[in-house]
Amino acid sequence: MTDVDAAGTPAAPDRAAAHARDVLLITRVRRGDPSAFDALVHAYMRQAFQLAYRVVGHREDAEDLVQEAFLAAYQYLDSFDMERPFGPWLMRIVLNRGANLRRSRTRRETEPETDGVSSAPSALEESERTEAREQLVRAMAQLSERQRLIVTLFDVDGRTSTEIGEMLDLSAGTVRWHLHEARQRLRAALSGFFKGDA
Amino acid sequence: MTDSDFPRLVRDDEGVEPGHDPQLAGLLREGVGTVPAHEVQWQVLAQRIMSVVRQPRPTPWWSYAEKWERRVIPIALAAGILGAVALWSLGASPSSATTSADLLTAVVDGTPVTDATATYANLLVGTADPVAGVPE
Repeated sequence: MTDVDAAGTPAAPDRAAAHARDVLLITRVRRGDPSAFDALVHAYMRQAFQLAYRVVGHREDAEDLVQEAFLAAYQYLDSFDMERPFGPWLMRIVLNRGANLRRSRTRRETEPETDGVSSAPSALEESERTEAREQLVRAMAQLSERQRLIVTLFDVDGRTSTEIGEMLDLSAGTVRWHLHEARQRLRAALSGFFKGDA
Repeated sequence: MTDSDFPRLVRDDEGVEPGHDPQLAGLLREGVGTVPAHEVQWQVLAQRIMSVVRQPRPTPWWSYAEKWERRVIPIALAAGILGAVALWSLGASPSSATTSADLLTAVVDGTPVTDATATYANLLVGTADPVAGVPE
């Protein structure tokens, strides 16, 4: 098994090894060994969950989405082109199914889950924070779905442009361009909340 | 907005990875939250996925046809050709109903009964001679 980081993405030097491993596993699945699929699930479920959560904004929905995406991948594995990497293919299934899921389901919560890291902010700080959050939500709504995902995956989740490109089937350069655009628009909308900005 | 707003400017042509923007990241993290990966029971999720994957898929009705199509199509073609040949060969000889009607018409028209019967009996058994039995 190759090294994977916290989100399940193989490190760059390991991509070729990961691809070779995936080809072997997929071949075994195609020959009627579903247990080989278990290894694929373990290799990619964290990355799939991260993307799924960013698409649907809710943990349980994201888990359902991951399950649905893996099932679809299993069912369509015969049509998968083995020359291409499995991970990005799976991530595209997550994105497509996620878009359908969002359309078909009403959100269980209006606010995304936060990890509650703050330590007893003052009333003024809390008020400013709430205002900033509301303005951020409005600014994010102005971005395209793709730009929203890119800026979140890059600036919040710490993914690289190459990794995001693989997830979204874009070149790294296109990801960086979208990131630049998204940041510019967000900074313009939130200029009052940045320290040192006029 | 100036370039200095960004820790490292995006230069796609050079393939430079942009630096992270801590201020924006901080606001974004508060707004959209972090991915609650620590709340996920990965082993349970993997088992859930595999249990769904291992479930036998419902067989669609057309899969039976798909299964047999390689054998059924040539057989159906052969049966069709045989049927067409049989129908054509039946259609080549006069039917008994047509022959009976012709016999009746001939008798009514005044042809002697023995001649008419002999002529159309030959037609029925397929050895019809258009000249034989016709009175000169």
